[in-house]
Amino acid sequence: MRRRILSAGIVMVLLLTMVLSACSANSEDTKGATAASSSEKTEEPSSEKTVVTFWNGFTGSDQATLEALVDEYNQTNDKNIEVEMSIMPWDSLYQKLSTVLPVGEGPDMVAMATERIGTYAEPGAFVDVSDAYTTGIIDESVVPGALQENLKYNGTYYGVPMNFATLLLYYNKTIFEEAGLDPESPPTNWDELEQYAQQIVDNTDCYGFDMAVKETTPMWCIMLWGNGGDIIEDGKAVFNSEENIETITRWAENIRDKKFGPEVLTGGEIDKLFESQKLGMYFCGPWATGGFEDVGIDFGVAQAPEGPVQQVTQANAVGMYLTSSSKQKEAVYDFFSWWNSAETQVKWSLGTGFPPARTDLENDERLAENPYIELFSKPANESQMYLQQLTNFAEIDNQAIVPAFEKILLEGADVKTALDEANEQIEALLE
Amino acid sequence: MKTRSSFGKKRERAGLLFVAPSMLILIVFVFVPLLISVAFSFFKFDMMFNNFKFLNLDNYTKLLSNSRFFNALWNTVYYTVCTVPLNIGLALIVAVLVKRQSWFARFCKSVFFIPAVCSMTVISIVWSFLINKDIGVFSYWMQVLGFNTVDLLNSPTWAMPTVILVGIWKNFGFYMVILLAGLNGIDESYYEAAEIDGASGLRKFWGITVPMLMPTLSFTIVNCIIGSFQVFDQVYIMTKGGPLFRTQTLVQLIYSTAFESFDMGYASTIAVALFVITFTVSVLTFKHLTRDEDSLA
Repeated sequence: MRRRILSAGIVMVLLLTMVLSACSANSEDTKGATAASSSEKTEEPSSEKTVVTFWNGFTGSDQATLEALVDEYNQTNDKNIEVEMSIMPWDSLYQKLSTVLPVGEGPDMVAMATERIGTYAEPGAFVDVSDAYTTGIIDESVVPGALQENLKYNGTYYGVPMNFATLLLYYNKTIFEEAGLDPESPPTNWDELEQYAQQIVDNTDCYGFDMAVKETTPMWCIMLWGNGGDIIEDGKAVFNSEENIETITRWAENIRDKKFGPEVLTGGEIDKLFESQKLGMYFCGPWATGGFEDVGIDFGVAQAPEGPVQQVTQANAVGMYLTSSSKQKEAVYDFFSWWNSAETQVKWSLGTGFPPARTDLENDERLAENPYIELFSKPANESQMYLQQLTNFAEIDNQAIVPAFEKILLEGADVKTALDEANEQIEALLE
Repeated sequence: MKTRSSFGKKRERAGLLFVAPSMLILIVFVFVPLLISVAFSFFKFDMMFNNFKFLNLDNYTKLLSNSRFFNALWNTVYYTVCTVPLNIGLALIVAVLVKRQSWFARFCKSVFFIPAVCSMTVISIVWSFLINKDIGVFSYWMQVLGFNTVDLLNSPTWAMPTVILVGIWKNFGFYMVILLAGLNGIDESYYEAAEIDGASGLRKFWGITVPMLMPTLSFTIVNCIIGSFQVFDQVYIMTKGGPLFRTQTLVQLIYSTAFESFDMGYASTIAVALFVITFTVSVLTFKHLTRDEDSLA
């Protein structure tokens, strides 16, 4: 009898513990995000700190610069605003957002690539920020041209600039020397690029030149644009144009048949390949310079080789957005304004090698300290951005474009057939 | 009579109390979301859970005419049909071999069990690096031995076998431990009697071990089937469903539909289909295996 009461008692205690811990876990979750702020609050009981949460994916070598700048803002701003940043890998960021935004528990600000604006603006997860431009919080006249249109969705501004980058041709000078090439003259057009890559493949046991196909900043588009082709033009799919067929046939042969490089790589894999000095040349953005220097690679960067029709490279941008979960619009706008000020942009550029997201800093002598800034800023006006202004960018990329490249590069599929199929899928997805 | 029934009722109440916490968790975290998923499968709505549109059975007709769904189903079946026999078979053979008490056997038991308690994510990342054609250690050794290296994860033919291999490598230790427990429950006298009759090792295995192990085996087989139908981690990390959707399994398709295309309604439809398929296969397999046991007894 006593044993029975004892057992029942233990069960009730366990049950109670579980229920209580579940409840406190719930309230802890909502407080967890502001746990730091509440400890701040107890330090300065008299002030009312406004805490603004900010999520982004800058996990690379630019993380240190970003954190230092946000710290500076927190120390120096006179409105008692504290920005609490959470940095996580980009795909974790997208997953988390889709669970917190619908229930209003998202961050106040979030940063992500501009091609994703449509996906979040359409269902109302991002808030219209046109007033930030009209009231001069952001100076519209100094926003780079390629960026301006792409911070909008359906003609309305949803984002403000955070960073702006272009891709250049990274080349390994050591491999160049080994292959008998002049390490100070990188290729300037497609013919030279092919020649040099062939020479590297023939004379060394390294790969010559390659472009990543999936989970990467887009690289193949540089070749497509260089020959006058595109993927979507004026809302119509033009992926299977004659120019594209020509371009892809040529470069697929180079990569797949002449073995310039592994057929299908992710962005991470191609970075690793260059980092382990097994690849002579590839396209990459300014974010990689720090890492490669740390590893001691003797490399240079050059403007993207000129294609038959034009010299062009890919530009990509990350914007900052106000989410529908936020109740701190003014504080967020203050940070937007500070981030886009000339001083902050100079510090950001110097720390990361990214060109500034302002067009009036081109000849600023402070930027001369980091030689990469000038090189990466140079093609700003001859660059295009990839698949912008869509609500289903990820679907189009993953379900139509990447499989087409995989079929061509892995299975040697006929280029025209593969592109026709992909084009049909893109058309269907555009509806 | 009276004392028996009040005694029985008390035991029943105590039993219910003990089960209550787990039942509560199951109801809140499994049954309720399951029912909500089924409800969602009839709607279309956007990322912010607004604009609900009732679709009747449209999601289901879309499912039955969608080649991507059947591709994922085929991939999942391929994965399951390869994994279950290999996993359980390997686990059984290893369990029989490490059943003895030597220090080496005990060492092996621990070593084989360790992958089972590691995170599949970490294991997938490590394996991806090891088999990488250009910078992986395994590829390096292959080259040293004079073989050509193949880009396994980007090969439409070899991507799925690689994913299967990683799955087996991780999980067989878990099933080995369960089968070991089952093996230890078989009376030694059976084996002694068989030895006296002059039975060989193999004959003892098929005649005594396997039939006596049937209850444990059925459990592990059904468990393995259910787990294989839900394979996701190593696919997501190693291939993301590629190349060319050759490794896209049902859960990977659900993930992609929900978090890439943000079509939660249709993703729920696929999830419901997966549940129905898994449930049917598990029940049928279990019935088949346990019916054999009865006929043996």
